[in-house]
Amino acid sequence: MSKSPEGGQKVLSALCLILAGIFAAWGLSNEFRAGWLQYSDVTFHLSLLNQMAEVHATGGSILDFWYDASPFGYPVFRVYQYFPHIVIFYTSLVSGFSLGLSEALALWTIVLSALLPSSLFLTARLFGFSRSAAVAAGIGAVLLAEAEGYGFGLENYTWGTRGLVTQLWALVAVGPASGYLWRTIRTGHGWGWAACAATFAIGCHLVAGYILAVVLLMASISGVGAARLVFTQRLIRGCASAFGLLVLTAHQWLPILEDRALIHRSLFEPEWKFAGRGVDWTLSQLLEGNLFDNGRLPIVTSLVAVGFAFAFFGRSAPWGGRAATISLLLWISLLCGYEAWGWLFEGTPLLGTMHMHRFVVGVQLWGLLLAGYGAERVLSLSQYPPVRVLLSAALLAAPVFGQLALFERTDERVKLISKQFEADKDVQSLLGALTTRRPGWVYAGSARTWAKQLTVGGYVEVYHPLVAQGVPTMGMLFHSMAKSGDALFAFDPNQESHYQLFGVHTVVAPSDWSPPSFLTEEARFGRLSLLRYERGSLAHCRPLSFRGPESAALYRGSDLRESYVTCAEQDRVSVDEWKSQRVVVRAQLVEERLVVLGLSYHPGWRAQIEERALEVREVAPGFLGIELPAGTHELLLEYRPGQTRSYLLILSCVIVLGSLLSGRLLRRAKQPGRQGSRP
Amino acid sequence: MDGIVRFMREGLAILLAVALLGLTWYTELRSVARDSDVLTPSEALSLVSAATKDASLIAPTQSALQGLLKSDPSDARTLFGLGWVAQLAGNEREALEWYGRAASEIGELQKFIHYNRSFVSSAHNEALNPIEELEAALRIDPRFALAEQRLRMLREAPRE
Repeated sequence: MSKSPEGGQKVLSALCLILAGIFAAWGLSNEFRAGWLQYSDVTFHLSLLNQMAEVHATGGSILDFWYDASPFGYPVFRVYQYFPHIVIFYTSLVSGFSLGLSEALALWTIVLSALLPSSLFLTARLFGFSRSAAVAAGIGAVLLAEAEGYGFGLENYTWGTRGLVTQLWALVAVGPASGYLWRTIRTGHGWGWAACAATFAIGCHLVAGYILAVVLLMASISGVGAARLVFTQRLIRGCASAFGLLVLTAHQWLPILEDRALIHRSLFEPEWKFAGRGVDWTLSQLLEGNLFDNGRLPIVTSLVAVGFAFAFFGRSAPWGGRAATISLLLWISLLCGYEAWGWLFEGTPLLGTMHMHRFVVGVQLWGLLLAGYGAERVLSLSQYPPVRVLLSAALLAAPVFGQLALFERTDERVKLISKQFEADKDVQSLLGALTTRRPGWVYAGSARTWAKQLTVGGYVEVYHPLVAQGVPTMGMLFHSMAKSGDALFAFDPNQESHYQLFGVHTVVAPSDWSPPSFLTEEARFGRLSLLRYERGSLAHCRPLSFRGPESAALYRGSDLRESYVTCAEQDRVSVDEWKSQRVVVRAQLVEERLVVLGLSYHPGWRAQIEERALEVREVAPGFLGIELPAGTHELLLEYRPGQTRSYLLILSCVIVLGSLLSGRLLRRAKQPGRQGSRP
Repeated sequence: MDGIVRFMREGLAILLAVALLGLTWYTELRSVARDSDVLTPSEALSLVSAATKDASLIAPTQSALQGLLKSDPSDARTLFGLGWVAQLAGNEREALEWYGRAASEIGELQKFIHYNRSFVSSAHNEALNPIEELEAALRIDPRFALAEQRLRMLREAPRE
């Protein structure tokens, strides 16, 4: 251990960060216990991982595959961040799946929460803050609590809340990435690290992409920290960085652009997700302290205010202080969303489907740096270590108590639900009965029917464990990526025509529900009844002239038998095989027909009969259709991913590694006497 | 001068620390007090109802009901609430015991309702029949001596 004061400070800083990391990891440690039974978007992530494992086992591409655990399927990774899933999947794979997918996911959530303090520390240091301010910012990262969630607050990552798996990954990387990028513009050095951190952050969550775009803009235009550079120099560096990032992240945004006509914004999503929170909400939440200290004394909020004042007006503030203040102001205004920025956002590519409520991350990132600086200023009131310790304890007390209460609450919930799930023989038997994939969707109730009646422990809907285990279940739209998804809410379990249109084969209903005559009871598990629609399958046939409604919502409340003419009685269409990337349909048609599948349309589907390729077409609203000639056919449908993404990803890796290595080699060449160097 | 400034800064630091710790302590105490506020049985039942949607409420509801039971061990609503909350917590055997106690307390009340009604003059309600009331009380508790005695008396009394 070093005896110099600086050495001692380094050790103390490391100790504080480690303790903060352990605190967060301990708080989230009960994530292991819940396993497959989740009550948030973690259900969706588990089902994605489950399908990755299936695709990997059959030799398919885990970078681009057809996901169909929730209606009506979509190649999710084309439009969704996928780095976290790849790492989680390989963690489980490397362990020979002895560490299950759900455990690997929980493990990474815990590890990343433990890394948050160090990430914020590094960010603050890159922005020129002192070690003590950086440590305070790091500690603050695990003590935030925001109202309505979706930011840094650990509550977002605890069981049964929001399940923001990928965002946590991005949060760990986005701060350092911002720091490296700003440094690159300031100094012209560190391209390799900036590229590495930024590519990873954006690969983990698109919100990081928006934050980094704003960082590039601010660093280039404002000149904070790089005042000696002329504007054009900064602009050139900024443009070069932006171009580099566009190339490095092309594997992610190119498929999104390709799919832009298919990407859907559900009618049932709340408006604030896409439109932002609005000016009133943002300002009132900020002033009431709910963006940093929801439900407790506004300590962090006060530190942000102190840090802001000192950084903005103080002459001894680090350059990063000024960068953080202007960035904080900008992100507060961005969180206001369309109300403040509609004139700019309207028509901007990719912003239409961006979840703007996540911009709270930007506010909190810069707020945390300022809170760290504020804490440093407050602690500098005293020069005596015991008083500083007392003051630190006073600053930490309320946030720590708040987090402890959160951990206790979550622990109670997880313990209870695990116990209830183990004791719930009805649901266990149901899961056992549905392990084999059926030739159509399983309808387990939605928010509009009986989902709230069929629960584990009174609130976890049965469709959660079904989806998590990869059973193609109609229950909830976790991410309404395809236009067809909204049809879920139009499905009426009493209308036979709906079963045909949406490809529903199985129904899980409360045992006291009086099923319509066309359903037969297959089994009864206590309060649950498993029913089968004998004539139901994923595929059905329609006349060639069939046109569905433009919007899935139009299905609602109508018996479609009258509106949409079905085929002749002699026509027979059945599904012989439905695997995640492949469907085999057997059709016996008296004349040319349109075979419509209860799957979302995507041009990645390939159809063939008797070795002959057929065109796949979109049947409104967003279903998959194939025109088949008369006769008996075996129609083979396969989802075939493009190779572009793989090549672009390899290119990104090569560029990142190349820039890291070349930077190292260049530094060595410049300093021949030096044995080693730091990034 | 420097000494005074330093002294004032240290004083301010200590004052700030004490004030923050005090405020935190006060806030914590207030939230504990809020959690342990005495509820009425009806409020406790509303809490159980809320716990069906949010399992994190089960434990606090259970302790609130236990508190109520101490002040009134025979309150049927409290006993019913304890059964319900035990059921939500997955302890079905315990729930049955609580429901049994609640039913027995309700029965106790009901048999006295019938017994007392047998004294009410039929002038207020023509349908009121003292013998039927007493028989109903005895169906609830066949060993209800008071009802048995009065029933015998009414049956043996000469009709007017």
